[in-house]
Amino acid sequence: MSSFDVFYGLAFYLFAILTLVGAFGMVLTRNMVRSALLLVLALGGVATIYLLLSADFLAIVQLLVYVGAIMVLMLFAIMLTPNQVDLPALAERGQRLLALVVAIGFFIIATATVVTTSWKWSSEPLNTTTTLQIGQQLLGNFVLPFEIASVLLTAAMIGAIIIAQEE
Amino acid sequence: MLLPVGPIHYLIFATLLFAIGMYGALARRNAVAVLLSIELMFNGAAILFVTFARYLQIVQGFELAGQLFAIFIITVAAADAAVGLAIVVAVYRLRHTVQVDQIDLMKG
Amino acid sequence: MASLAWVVFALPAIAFLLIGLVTLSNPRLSSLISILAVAGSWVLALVVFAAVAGGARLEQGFPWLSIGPDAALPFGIRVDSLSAMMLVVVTTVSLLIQVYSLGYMAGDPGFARYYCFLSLFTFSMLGLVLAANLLTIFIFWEGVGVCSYLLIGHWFAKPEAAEAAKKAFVTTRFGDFGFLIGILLLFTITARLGEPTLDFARLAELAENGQLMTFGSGLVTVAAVLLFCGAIGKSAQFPLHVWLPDAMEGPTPVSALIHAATMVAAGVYLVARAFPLFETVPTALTVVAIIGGFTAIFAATMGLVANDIKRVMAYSTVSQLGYMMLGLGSGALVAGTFHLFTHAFFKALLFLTAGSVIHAIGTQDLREMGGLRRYMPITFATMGFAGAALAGIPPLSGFWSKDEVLAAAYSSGNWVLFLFAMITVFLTAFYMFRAWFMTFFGEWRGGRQESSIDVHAADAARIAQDVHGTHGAVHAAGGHAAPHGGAHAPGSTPHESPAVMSIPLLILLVPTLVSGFWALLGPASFAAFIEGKPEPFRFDPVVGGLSIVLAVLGIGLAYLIYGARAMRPISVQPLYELLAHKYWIDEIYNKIMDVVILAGAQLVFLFDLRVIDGIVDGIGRLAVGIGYTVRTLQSGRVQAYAMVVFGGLLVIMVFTTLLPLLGVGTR
Repeated sequence: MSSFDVFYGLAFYLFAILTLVGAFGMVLTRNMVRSALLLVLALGGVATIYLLLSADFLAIVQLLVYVGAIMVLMLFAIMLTPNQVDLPALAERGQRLLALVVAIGFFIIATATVVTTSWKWSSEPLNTTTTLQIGQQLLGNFVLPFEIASVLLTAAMIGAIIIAQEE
Repeated sequence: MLLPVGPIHYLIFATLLFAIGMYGALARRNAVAVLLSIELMFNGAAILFVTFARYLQIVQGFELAGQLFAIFIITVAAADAAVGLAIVVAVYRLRHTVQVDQIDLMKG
Repeated sequence: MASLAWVVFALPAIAFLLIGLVTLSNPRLSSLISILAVAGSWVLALVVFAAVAGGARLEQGFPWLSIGPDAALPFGIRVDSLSAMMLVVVTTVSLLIQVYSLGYMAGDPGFARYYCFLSLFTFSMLGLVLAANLLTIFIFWEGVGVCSYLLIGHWFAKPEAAEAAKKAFVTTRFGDFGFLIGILLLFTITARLGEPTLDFARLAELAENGQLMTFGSGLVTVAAVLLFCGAIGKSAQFPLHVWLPDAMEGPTPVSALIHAATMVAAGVYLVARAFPLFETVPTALTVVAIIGGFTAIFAATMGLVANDIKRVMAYSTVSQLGYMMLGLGSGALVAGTFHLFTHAFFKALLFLTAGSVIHAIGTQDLREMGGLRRYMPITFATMGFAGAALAGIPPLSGFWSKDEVLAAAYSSGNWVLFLFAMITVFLTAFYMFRAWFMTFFGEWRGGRQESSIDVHAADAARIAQDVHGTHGAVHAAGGHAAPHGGAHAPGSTPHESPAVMSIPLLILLVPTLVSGFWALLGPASFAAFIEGKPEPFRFDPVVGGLSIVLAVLGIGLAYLIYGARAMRPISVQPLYELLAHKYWIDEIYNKIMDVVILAGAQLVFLFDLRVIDGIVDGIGRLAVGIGYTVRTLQSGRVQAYAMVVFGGLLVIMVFTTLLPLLGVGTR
């Protein structure tokens, strides 16, 4: 085990824990704004994880789009829909318990599957910059999804405007 | 096992995020909170894709497919968030509430 | 020649159809058709009889009900000595009674309908007599039962008549049920033996060579007793005797024909036909004898106190049928059948004379009669002779046949039954002549004191009104309430019946006097004829003498009390009540029926309410309940739906990934 591995591992654990803190906090806190901000933290953590996974372009995109745009949108929505403060933020006990069971059950089964599957790991994990290649792929192999994505975004935009319009 | 960090760690981590998001989607009462949780689930899935992009033997020419997938996930997530929040706002306008358990017009 | 028998019973059937479909509106034509048909049958019956006497026999049939790929129950007739004898009896009596009815039923609005059903009855009875197997006889058995119902209820608008008809039918139904089970049992036994049959001849063979007992004699005994059940019903033996007295609601000629001479004899005839079967299981014969003997004395006691002249005759019939059963049950086929033969004639004569009296003075109540011997000499004489025949006074026919029965009972060793039979001789003579003396002796008091016309016409009037008013569908043959030629207002002098009624009386007198002598003809005697081998007449002087003495004593006592009025009748009130109310049997039966039927109905009702409705309602409630439950799933809350989705996803994952992981499931 080289020192690289050690540092790499430490970095992973640090960022992972950060992300998890954000994630847990997000689902457990009662305050909406706090919840959104904690998600911001989580998403930021995810961006760093992308970096560790040699997805440099993706990390930036994550920050720009997710954190920068989507979360801002969420915050706007939270501001626009103020709840009475005394209303319960979390579901009743039974439902929470059931949700917990489902989530934990899912986690266990998925993990078990993942761990026991014999993946065909490659001998050389990816370790390059990706921007150029992503660009080439987007206009090459993935041009169709690319175009469809644009259509999707257009449709979403129009739909959102129409739905949210004042009568 | 803890070190060196390998693909399994990332996979477990991503699944954990997904599970947390799932819990949030089922247990929160605020509609926006549910949407936030869903965003978290998207991210979990995206991390899975990226992990496979890095560590898996992939067909020639599609080495970064996982990362591209993650990009599209983000795109779709954006669209979804936009429309979803538009709906939430519209519902708020009508019902003055965004508690999911109070929006039950389709009851019975 | 013998195959003319088919024509014998076809003629009345044709008459029935003709009258029923074509000529119901024309009473005269209907009666003409009916009488012609039965006259033709009579002639042919005599021809068949002659043929059989000369040795001819016939068994013919055709397959009718298919019961298997190559087997079929036949519908067949059998012409032998027994059936030939019965053919003559039935056609003779039927013919005379149909002629008599021209006078008796004149003016009745249902005249054509009456003859229509009489023809149907004649057809059924002749078919019954000719039947070669149990199936055929059962068909005609039911046929005569239906005709009895139709004819008893001729004046159906009168409630008592309708009730009586229903009672007759239902009571005999009980017997018929046992009969049918007996038939099925025999069919099963013979089927097990390999060749299912209901043929009398075949059954006799199987009985005689012992094959029938293969499954145990108990089974055959039960079958025989069940067959006898039918006879108990049809021949009005105890305990199914209750319908015959009530059946007197029908017109008197009907009573004469059906309930004296022919239909009620069907039971006796059945036992006679199945006699080889009965012979192999003596227990069954004993049952027959016991019931017959008991019924004889039982009915005679009730006849002692009856005040309706027809009722006296009815009890007499039941009692004499008991005698016939006693004869058969004692093992003497000849004795029982011979009494059947003689009884048909003198009992028909008795009923017709009673009808003559009723027709003349308009009442059936003995207490309103008296002194009629001056006004109705023919009726007086004929009833006297017939009554003597019934009582068993030699040399009249009844003596010979009754004596044979008594001798058979004596020699069979059953002391109690013999004693009953002898006592019954006394009782029979007594009640018969009580009726005779009350009717013809003493002073004529002018009949009923009512100002209405006689019973017959009064009822006819009422019925005609009802018929025209409410039952437009009934073919009331052009009759209004006009009193017919024979009715007399009370107070006027009664006179003898018209010739059309008196002549049959005189004709019937002949066999009443002489038919007994057939027993004495040696090689041509009744016994020889029936059994095919000559048999000396069994005359036991002790028994015969004793019966004559008892009969004379009975007549004498009746004379003293009712004829010369020299003695007051002994009255033991509680005993009288018991007898007058027919031992309360009708009431007991009604009570039992009430309890059983009501209890059964209650049970069924509760079952329907709780179980059936419960199930149906339950299904309904189940559906509604499921609906309510499922409804809660549709909460309208998206989060709940999401929960379900993810939960389902979890389950799928368990099955597709986890279980294979753990090694469970198909490899």
